Amino acid sequence: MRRSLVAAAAILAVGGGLCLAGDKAALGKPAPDFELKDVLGRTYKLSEFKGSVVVLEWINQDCPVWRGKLKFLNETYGAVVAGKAKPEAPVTEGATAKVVWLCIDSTNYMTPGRNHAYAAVNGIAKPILMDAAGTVGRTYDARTTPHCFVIDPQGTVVYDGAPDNSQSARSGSAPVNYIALAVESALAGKPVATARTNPYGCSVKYKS
Amino acid sequence: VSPPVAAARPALRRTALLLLVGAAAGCRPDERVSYPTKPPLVDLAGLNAAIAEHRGSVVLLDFWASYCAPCVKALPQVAELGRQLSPRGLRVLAVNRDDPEDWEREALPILKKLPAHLPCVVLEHGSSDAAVSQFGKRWRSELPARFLLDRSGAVVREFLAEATEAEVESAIMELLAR
Repeated sequence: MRRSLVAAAAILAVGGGLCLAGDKAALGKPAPDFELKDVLGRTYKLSEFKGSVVVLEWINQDCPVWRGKLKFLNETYGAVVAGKAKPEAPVTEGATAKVVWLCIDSTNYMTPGRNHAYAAVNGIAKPILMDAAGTVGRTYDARTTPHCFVIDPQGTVVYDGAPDNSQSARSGSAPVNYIALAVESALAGKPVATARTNPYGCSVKYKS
Repeated sequence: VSPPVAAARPALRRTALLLLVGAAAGCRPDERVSYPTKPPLVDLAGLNAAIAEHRGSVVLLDFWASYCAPCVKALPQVAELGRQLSPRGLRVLAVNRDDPEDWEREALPILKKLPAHLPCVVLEHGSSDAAVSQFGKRWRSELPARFLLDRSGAVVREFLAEATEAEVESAIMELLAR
């Protein structure tokens, strides 16, 4: 019985993203480790980026809200990552980066080919990791596209929420880029002032 | 350009009240009541005022947006539920989360195609976090999100993305039978 349970767990792990820690993600706690393949089949393991600030961004090219934020997210990526490393490089090179940005797609029906093509057409330089089984998405309780997390160099979740305040600010308020602020604080070793916001957008289309 | 919410704030409650006065002034739920061409923008106080008008009824609050495919797919059934169960004490209030400037172009065409009139307000972005705190236990503003309020106005059920239409309907029937 026990052996078959282990075998079942192994099959589950092979079938989708592999979550290596049992706990759910929580603010102020160690980010659960995971291993996912990108659209080209390269393996990314979160724990290999320890020492870097890591941004996780949940995506879905079929979600108009995420598509509407594409320019903002690409620009923010450029601002926080540019000149510091090549996060699209294989894991061993990426591990030396100060800031690494990983897109994760937990849409149950999405294919690597569609994301590869979409990234090429829309100038997305960030690696896109495939999580069609939804294992990693559910571990992080990713609700929407876009939903973002920032992990500090020690591997602690320091931000969980929306990329910006565009859907929660009163009309006329100044725009706030939550990701850029969290990354800046994490790089400086300071607490993130706004560590949790409500993510907005389409719900993640998990496998039922 | 966003409507000047701050300047219009005193009008927000009035918008909600006008909507409800329309509903209370003898409009049968199956009448094709026209929708306003300007977004019926409310803040949280306005939304609460709209809900309070239905005290004594079971209320289904349906947060939706034109970009949310599952929300749009479910709207006809929600409108039908509101129409058919109105005599038994159900009131449905749709809360649109599109950008207010998208009301006429995106939200209105969807509402006009519904099989029954669905009272709908647009919640201003600045009230988003407060609405999440007030209505949700697990909710973090993702859509679809539906909340069932009992006859005293208390939230008794929360239906998020994974909820099925059958679950929502069954909970409504159960609450109406109490």
